[in-house]
Amino acid sequence: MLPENWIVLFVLGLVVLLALWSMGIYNRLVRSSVQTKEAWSGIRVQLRRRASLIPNLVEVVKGYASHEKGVFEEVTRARSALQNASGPAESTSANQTLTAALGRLFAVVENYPELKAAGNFQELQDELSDVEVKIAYARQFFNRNVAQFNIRIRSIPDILIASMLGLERFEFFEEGQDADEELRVSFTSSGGE
Amino acid sequence: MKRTSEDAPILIYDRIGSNRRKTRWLLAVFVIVSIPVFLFIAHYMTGIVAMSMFMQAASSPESAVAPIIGISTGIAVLLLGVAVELLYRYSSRLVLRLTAARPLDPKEEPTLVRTVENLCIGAGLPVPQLAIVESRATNIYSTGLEPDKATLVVTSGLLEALDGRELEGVVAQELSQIGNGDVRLGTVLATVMTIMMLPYLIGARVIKTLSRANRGRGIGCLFFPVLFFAVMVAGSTVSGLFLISDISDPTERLFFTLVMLVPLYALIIGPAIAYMLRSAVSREREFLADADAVLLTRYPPGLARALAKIAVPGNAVIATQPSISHLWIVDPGKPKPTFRTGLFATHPPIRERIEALSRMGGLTPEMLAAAEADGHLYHDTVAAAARSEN
Repeated sequence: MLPENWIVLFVLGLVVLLALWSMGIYNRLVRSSVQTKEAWSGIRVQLRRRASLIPNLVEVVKGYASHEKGVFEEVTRARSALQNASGPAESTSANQTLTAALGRLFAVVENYPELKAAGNFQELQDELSDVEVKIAYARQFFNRNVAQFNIRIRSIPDILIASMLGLERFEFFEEGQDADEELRVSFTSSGGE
Repeated sequence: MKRTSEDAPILIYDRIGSNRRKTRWLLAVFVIVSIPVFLFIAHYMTGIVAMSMFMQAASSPESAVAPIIGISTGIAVLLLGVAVELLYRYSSRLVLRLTAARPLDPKEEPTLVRTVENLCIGAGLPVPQLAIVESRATNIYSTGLEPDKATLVVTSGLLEALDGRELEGVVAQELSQIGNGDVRLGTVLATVMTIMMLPYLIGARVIKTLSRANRGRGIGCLFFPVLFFAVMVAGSTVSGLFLISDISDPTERLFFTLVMLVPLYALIIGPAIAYMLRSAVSREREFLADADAVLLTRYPPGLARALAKIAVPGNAVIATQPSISHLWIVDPGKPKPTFRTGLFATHPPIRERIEALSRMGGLTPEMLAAAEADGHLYHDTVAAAARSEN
């Protein structure tokens, strides 16, 4: 075999290998990005569930405390803001606003013992706290995906392909200061639960 | 938390790959070891091997023996293929039947259902089907070849003995095993081991029917079949040695020696090696799943406390086939029969698992002691209840 021929084949082989290798990286990045988006839709589902519980809750509380209009309006506003929010950053702040508004609503409820004891109110409260736990888990899964993706697109060699494709970092979904505190405490506290 | 997440890949998807690579060689050896056993069982079932050996002993022309063995091997392979396909398809149903699990109505156990749902969201897994085994034992396993077809099986005793945090820990451990592909592997291994022990299981069934003795479905009922096959194999080997001494042609002699050793291998050596390999694969994965569970619940003491409770001798013991013992979260066998330790152990010692969990933080000796005390209390309650029933 002629030497030139050999060199041409060698270079061709290298090119093919390189192409296959970049395809592998590309596929990995795409998979990671799609998985992260899917994890985000998991959070959206739970956030929507949370928002959809609000009207019923407001109705029930209104039945006992109809004059607390300011709080109802605040909660309703926060709810529609959450429903219309798009993307992690906006959703994060809308969700935090709703949490704060709900906090005030529940503070109002404290003044009405018969409301607190009402069956349908307790049911809604249970459902709401269940959704909140689910949001926390969905957030954990999403943030793990985000961390994975963000590390990937900034590591060598993935960064080469990622910058060519213009892939950008995903934002984390934050639950707010309080939730973080709670998480840290549950790791360091030595007392039983 | 940082400590565990840094030295391991962050996502379950990636870990499936590395986990598979790690145990691939073990599985390769497993396959090589088990193929002759399967062939023998299939041959034995068709009865062709017996026939060909008989014909050979009668006339001894090698020319006639080769095609018979060829045909019988062909039939055996075919049968084996069908059996493996069927078992692969019905393996989780087989496992569920072996443990007498029944589907759980979600309304029965709302706490469990909620726990499973929430953890599935955290793990990014589809919610598995739930089943329950009516037993006072405290144990849990899952089965299924794909995450979306998995079944999580709990004992009623487990639900009784564990609190919310502990239940969360063990459910997270199972879900991690589903996500890591351990459950798929475990289900396949369970199926393969069940076929390998088929002669013993059939023997056990026959003896049980004959003696009407209620020995349960634990390891104990295998004692007499093992003895029977051991005597049979020893007998055939010794008598074979006498026969071989008369053969003068060295090639023929080698051939008969090998034929003679086949039952010994297929009934005793092969299953024993396969059993050890299966246990090695299983042990390897248990620590990983424990760490993953903590990654999910972010609360190491939950699982540690649950393990401490379950590990109280006798609590986790449940009547089950030894071929599926690796699926359970802790060894369901009676405490410390010698051949379930060391190379045969399907699980790392529970002390080591708790030790590893306590290094992840949050666990105090007092918590552990309290959990153990609770476990003993549960054990005593169960024992008292069993006594009053008798």
